Amino acid sequence: MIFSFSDEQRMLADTAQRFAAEHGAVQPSAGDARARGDVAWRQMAELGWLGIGIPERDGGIGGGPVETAIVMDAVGRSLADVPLLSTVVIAGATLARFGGAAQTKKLLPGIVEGRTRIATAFGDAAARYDLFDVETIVRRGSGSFVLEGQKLAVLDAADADYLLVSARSDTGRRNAAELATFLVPVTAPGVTRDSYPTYDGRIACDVVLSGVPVPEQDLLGVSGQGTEIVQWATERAIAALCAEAVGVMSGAFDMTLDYLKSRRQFGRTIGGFQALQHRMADLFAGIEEARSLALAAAWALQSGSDARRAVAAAKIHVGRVGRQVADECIQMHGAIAMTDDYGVGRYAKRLLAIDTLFGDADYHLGKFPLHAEQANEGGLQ
Amino acid sequence: MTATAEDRAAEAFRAEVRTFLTGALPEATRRKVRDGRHPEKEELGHWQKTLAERGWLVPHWPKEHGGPGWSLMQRWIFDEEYHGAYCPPVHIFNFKMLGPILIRFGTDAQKRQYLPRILSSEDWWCQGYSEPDSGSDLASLRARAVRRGDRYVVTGSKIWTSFAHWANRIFCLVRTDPEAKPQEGISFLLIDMKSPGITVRPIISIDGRHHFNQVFFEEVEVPVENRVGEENQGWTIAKSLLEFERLNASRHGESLGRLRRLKEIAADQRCAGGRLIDQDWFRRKIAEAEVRLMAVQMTALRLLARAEAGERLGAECSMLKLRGSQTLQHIQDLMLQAVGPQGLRFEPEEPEGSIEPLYASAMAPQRLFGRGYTIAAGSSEVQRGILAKRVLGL
Repeated sequence: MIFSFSDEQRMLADTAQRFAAEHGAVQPSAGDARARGDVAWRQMAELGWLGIGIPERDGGIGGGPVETAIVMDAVGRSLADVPLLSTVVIAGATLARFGGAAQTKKLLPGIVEGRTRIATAFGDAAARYDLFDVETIVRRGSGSFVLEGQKLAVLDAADADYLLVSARSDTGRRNAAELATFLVPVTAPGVTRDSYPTYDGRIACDVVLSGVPVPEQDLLGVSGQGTEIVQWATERAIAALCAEAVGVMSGAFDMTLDYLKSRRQFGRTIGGFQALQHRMADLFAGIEEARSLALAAAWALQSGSDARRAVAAAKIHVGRVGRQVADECIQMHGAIAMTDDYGVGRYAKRLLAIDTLFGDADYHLGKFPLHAEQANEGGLQ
Repeated sequence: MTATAEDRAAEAFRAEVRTFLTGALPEATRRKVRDGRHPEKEELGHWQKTLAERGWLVPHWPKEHGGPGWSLMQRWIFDEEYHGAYCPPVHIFNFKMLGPILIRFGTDAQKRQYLPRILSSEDWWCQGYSEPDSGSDLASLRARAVRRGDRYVVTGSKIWTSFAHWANRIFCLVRTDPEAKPQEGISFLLIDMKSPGITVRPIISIDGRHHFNQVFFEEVEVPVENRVGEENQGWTIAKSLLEFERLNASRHGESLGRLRRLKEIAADQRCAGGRLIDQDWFRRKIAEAEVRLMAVQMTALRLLARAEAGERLGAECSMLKLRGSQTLQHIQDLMLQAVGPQGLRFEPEEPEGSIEPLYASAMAPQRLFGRGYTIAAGSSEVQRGILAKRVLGL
């Protein structure tokens, strides 16, 4: 039943906990986030985590969104800068589900072994959060497709080998069109990446696709399946992101709890002040709710039921509670949290950034009633 | 209802202020402040000189020390227009802290020596109050000043010292009597940052910028004439500033400026085939923020009216700091929300070579730095405590 973890899932959770402790986010000196990310990525490959959501017959370790959620919690706690979401949760699982034999054979081994990195380029520069509002166009060239457009804030693109790109045909109307998805090598002619730091310490790219030729065999899925693929991949990405956010919240919360138990002012430990105790209790409850919704979304996806409502609810709650956790943990630390090398600020920044990925809370709220109408009247699956 | 002569005079004054500020503010500085970025020291110094030439640098100083002799209402109007025109805040440590302290507690010699240099921006001051173990409980501070003949010898450390890296001078609260009750053993010293024994360690903030520092004092010698007020009178002096700045704690002028910019951004941002500001859900968010700001603004105005009537304002002013700082943070958060995925790009300083910088990349640094508004200058927790104890008697 929902929320009942199997033995394997429990073991995975233990491993994930150890991983988080080992790759602790808040070392006294921030060091090189990229280098630490590479170390974490290699260890994840060794642990088999890069094969989650990929069937064993394709070289993966099986499992699905629930296993992903367990691992993403550790990613959140450790603030590991790894392309797990884009490469494994999105690209790997999507390839396994929709890819042709040649595609999976070409790419999945590299993904599972940590040799290949794939970035997800769904969001158009002109759109806000609507991944179906796509101006990037694909037209037929001679013997290949040709891509034209701009993608905004593509995470993990700077170090990626491939981009998973969505585009609409140039005869389709914007918003109503069918999409197509492509695997584009970053070295393809016409691909330019403008890299920049993000405020949560990562690197993103604005990607320009200018007459990029894409061979037929790099179309992912069959013709007309792009919209389904984007929807499928996005739901899984959001569920995974929510699980990561819960890990980040837990990290920030635990740091704050420790601080309240040790910091002294006015002749006493500040955790003794009832006002702060009550606020911590409120945060605790909020984080547990976010955890519940994130896991519920993962379970809904894993069970194959219509998960849209659960996924949206998780994203909305994570957005709201995440903001509250970010701001409250800084506030309760006082001035020390305003410094860049004291970790609670890094947790806070990651929480704000996650709200911006794959649609913020308001975006999903705007769409939520639609899901409610279409959901099964019997409640959560 | 026809406008009274008073209203007309106020409108005329507002127009005069607006005309001057929008004309005199350099475009490069305006652009930075408009987008929540901070000017360079030289840039700020230049602007302060411009204001000084107009006689508007220190609206709250008495006329005999360089103030323009404005009423509280004129100062109110000036503050709103100032931030509405995206003018950078002046260096508060000079003009809003030490200046008023010297005017009230300084000797004639100290006023003669320091006030002109403050007004001309020849001296840049920073404030040595907080310590690693003395934040909200500032009275517990431990930096020690031992009297040896005609000087104090200071040893200790101050932290969160804003712009110590710009400053050539620092004013410090130091412990001169460790045996007395904490508040009764503190003195106020003026210290030359070039004194032997002073080191400054930069602290980078979560917005990626260098505002704060830690300052270390190792047997730093300070002439006794650099003490302001009596020995062990320092706490009283520092507290007097709180009364002085009570009405400004609302920061409503800044909030008005940020709200204006929020609307500009929302009109520029696209959403669902139209402008973000035309989406009902976002319009409502702006409306709620505007109402919150009006609530703070009108409360400050009520208190101002009482002050103009000669009443001495009390602890209830804590609600201005409490609600005003939260309101400003809320508006900054809406600004970050408004820019959506564009806001991930991180550029706390204006990007090189750009004519019109992208505002989006400044929204996160602005919002992150703004978290300090409910922490510094008496945290929200301290303000609530003051309201609970001194106003409500709990």
